[in-house]
Order: sequence, then structure tokens, then C-alpha cells
Amino acid sequence: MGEFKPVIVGFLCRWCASAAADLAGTSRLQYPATIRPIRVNCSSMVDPAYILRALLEGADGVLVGACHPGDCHYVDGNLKERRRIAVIKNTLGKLGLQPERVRFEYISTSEGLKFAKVAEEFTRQIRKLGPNPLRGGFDD
Amino acid sequence: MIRAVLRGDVHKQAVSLLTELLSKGLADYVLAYRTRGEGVEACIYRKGDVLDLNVFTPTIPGLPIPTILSWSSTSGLKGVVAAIVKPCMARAIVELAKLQQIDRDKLIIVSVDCIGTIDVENYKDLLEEGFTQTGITEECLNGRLEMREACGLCTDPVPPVFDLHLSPYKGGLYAYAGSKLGNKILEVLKAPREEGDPYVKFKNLISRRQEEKQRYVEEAKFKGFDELQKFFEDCIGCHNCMEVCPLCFCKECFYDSPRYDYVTRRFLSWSPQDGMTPLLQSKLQFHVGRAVHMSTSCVECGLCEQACPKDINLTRLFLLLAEANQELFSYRAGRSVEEEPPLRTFHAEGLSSFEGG
Ligand code: SF4
Ligand code: SF4
Ligand code: SF4
Ligand code: FES
Repeated sequence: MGEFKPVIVGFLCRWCASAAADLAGTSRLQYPATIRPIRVNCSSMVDPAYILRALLEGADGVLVGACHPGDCHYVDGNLKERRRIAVIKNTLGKLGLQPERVRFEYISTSEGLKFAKVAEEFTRQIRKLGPNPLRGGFDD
Repeated sequence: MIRAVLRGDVHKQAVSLLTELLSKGLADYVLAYRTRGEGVEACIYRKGDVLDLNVFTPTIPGLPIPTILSWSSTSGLKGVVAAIVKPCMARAIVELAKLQQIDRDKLIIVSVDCIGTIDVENYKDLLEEGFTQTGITEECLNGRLEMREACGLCTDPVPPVFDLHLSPYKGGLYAYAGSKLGNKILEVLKAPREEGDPYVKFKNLISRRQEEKQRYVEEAKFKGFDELQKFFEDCIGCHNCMEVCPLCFCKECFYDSPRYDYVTRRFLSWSPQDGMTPLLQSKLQFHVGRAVHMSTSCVECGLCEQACPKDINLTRLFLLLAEANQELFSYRAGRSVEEEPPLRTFHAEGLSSFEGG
């Protein structure tokens, strides 16, 4: 067994966090390559069922990247998503399933730096938690 | 609150009140349960029909009245339905109305006192043993018959929202008016009226159960994956719990869609390195996913557990998650018609503890 390389599924809004991830890349910022990005049209289309599915299928963490409050292209999608995140994290907590594996962040198009920082911090946090126990016997 | 005082036999008074609703044109249909032979079934009555129904049926069969109402509303039934319901089902109706599944304007919610119901299977057994319906109700009231776990923890013997609420008293039946419509109905019925409070006689019961529920929910927390896995070990994935749930109104459940057909194919293709592929994930996808979708509107009726062929203790899961997820938004399912269901709305403030790391 080598070093634990977390797998983090990143649901990134195309109007903000996804562009920020590109910016972090083109600016050659250093951050761990742990995030598997999935571009979505708005953070609000990330049904908690998708987050749950990622976790139950073995992802070590799930990041949802949304526009800052007031900046969502669909007006209030990000704030509605925040409610869904609250419900899934709260639920995981009551079931003893490590809600810290789910993270919700506002990252605007210009915040390449913030994206890199979040990737770094979240990866560190997941490393501390260790591999997802829901992962069962799967290998990636 | 205004109540009508209907002296005499409780059952007869209830039936004559409902008959009048139909004959005076206040309602076009009465939707209720009746017991026949060893079975209990939902029935819809029209003007002129013999109302061989039972208002205080001490059980809730597998076809909840809110579900029937949502079918009729979404399929465009014309006319006003008077639905006879237990308090938990009155709360489910309020939730479904807010979720645009029931047309509140074409509905008279007629709730009844309820301190608990028994499992529908036991009900049938008891009927077979020769118990009468009123006999069963009495035994329930005396605490000699075991009620469902959810009922023992239920804090709404009278629902927060209703049009009419029927409550037996020593000399007969009270009919409380809980809305403008309710008041109008009582006026038309011309029964003697007075001031009253349907909640007051249950004060002690409510506060006792509130405490018990708090304790129960505290202990209901799960310690992690292993415990959850054990909990659902016997689940056969029949989805009966979802089918029967009054709040699971989707015409096709996300978890019945081809999206989740992947189980064997995908799991086998993830052939593990260490020799073991737990297949439990698909069950947890369904149960936890369903809870995340609807626990903010769950009315804690426990019908999911009653429908489960494997006796999975779903009451524990849903009381735990309903309480926790509704508290997050200071919401309570079925408490008011105005409060928006949490996942239908948002506020700019609050919940900041769920942002960032
Ligand atoms: S949950 Fe409450 S209202 Fe519903 S049947 Fe049980 S005691 Fe009655
Ligand atoms: S207790 Fe079960 S059946 Fe009743 S609303 Fe909640 S999930 Fe649905
Ligand atoms: S009713 Fe029981 S066995 Fe069927 S899916 Fe629900 S928990 Fe599993
Ligand atoms: S468009 Fe970015 S969160 Fe809605």
C-alpha cells in the first residue's frame, strides 16, 4: 500500500468554480490532483442523491463549487443548493457517516487561487479521515 | 375555537354529520375507511349512499387517504371531497397541498381524535377473533392493545390544521371548526355551538410523549456504516416503504428508474482486489437517498414500517431524520399551510456552518 491518494468528486458550476479550476490550471498553481471535476450548469442541479452515490460508490470526498451568493446565474440556485447540502450533511451526521466528506464552497471565476486552496485543504482533511469506509472492496 | 355539540351515540352522530355534508351540498364526496369482514378498505361515498364507514377505525391500511387525494387532485377530479383522517394523515395532506399534489380548495379535512392505531395485520387478526371495531378502539384507549411504535411517540392527537375535528365526549360528539370553511359548515348544520379547545384534554399525553420522543430520537442515532449495514441487512429492496409513504408522491421514484439498474453489472465490473464486493450500497442509496429527498416533509406516521415485509425498524430511521432535518429549518411537517417546505425555498441568512470546511 502506497500513500493514500484521495479521490474527490468535484461538482463544479460552469459559471464559476469550473472556470476557477481552469484558471488555477492555466496559472500553473500547485495543488493536489485529487479532484475529478464534473461540470454542472448550476450548483443547484447537484441533487443530494448524486453526492450520496459518489460516496457510496467509493469517492473519499465530494466538493460542490457554487457561485457566491448573489452571483448565481439562475438567481438563487446556490442558496437552494446550500439547503440541500445542509440536509445531506445533517443526515450523514445522524447516521454516523462522516459528513466532513462533503464540502460546499463559493468560488468565483476569478478565484483560481481559492480553488487551489480549497483543493489543498480539503485533500488534507480527507487524508486525515482516511479512505472512505463505504468504499468496501472497490479499487479505483 | 367554536365547536358543535352533537348529543347521542358517537358513531351515529358522526355518520349523520357526514350525511348532511353530502345532502346539503357542502361536499360531493366523503372519503373514509370501512371495515368489512376481516378487511379494512378505503371507500368513496356520494349523496344518497349508505355511509357504512367508520370514523374512528383504529388502524391505517396500506392505502393512505392523502395518497388517494393526490391521485384525484392530479387527475382533475371535480367536486369537493370530505376526507376523514387521523392527525398524521391530516398533516400529510397539508404537506402534499403545499407541494402542489392536493388541491386544498376542493377539500374538507375532517380529522378525528387519535391516541394511537394498531398494525393493520393485528387489526385483521382481532376481527377474526371476534372483536368489534369499537371494542378494539376501547382496548387501545385502555392501553391493553399494543399500538404501533410511531403512535406511541406521536405528539399530535389533534392535528395543527383541519377544517372539522371530531372528538367524542361522554354525552356524544364534538365537531370543532378549525378554519373559515369549518365555521361555515357548522353554521349550515345548525347544531348548538359553544367555545372549546380540542387540544386541552390531551395536554398531559402530549407533553409526556414530547419528552419520550426527544429521548428516543437521541438514542436513535447510528454509530456508522457497520450499524447501518446491520440495520438494513434483511431488507429485500421491495420499496414497499416508499410505495406506501404518503409523502413519496413521485410518479416514478428516482430509485426505480433505469439509472439505478446498474447493481450487478456495475458492481461486478468493479471487481475488487481484496476479494469482497459488498452489494449493500444499492440499498443504502435508496434508503438514505429517499430520506434526503423527503424527510423534511415526513409526518412520522410509521406507515413505512407497517408496510415492510421484513420488519425493518423504519420508524427509528425516519423519526431520527425527520426531527433532525426539520429542526434545521425550524420547520415542522403539516404544522401550517403558510410555512414553505424547506427544500422549496431558501433564506439568504443562516446555514453558514454548512459552507466551507
Ligand atoms: S401517528 Fe399519531 S395520528 Fe397517526 S395513527 Fe399514530 S397516533 Fe394516530
Ligand atoms: S414515517 Fe415513513 S411512511 Fe410516514 S411520512 Fe415518514 S417516511 Fe413516509
Ligand atoms: S419495505 Fe422493508 S424490505 Fe422493502 S425496501 Fe423498504 S425496508 Fe426494504
Ligand atoms: S450558476 Fe453557479 S451556482 Fe447557480
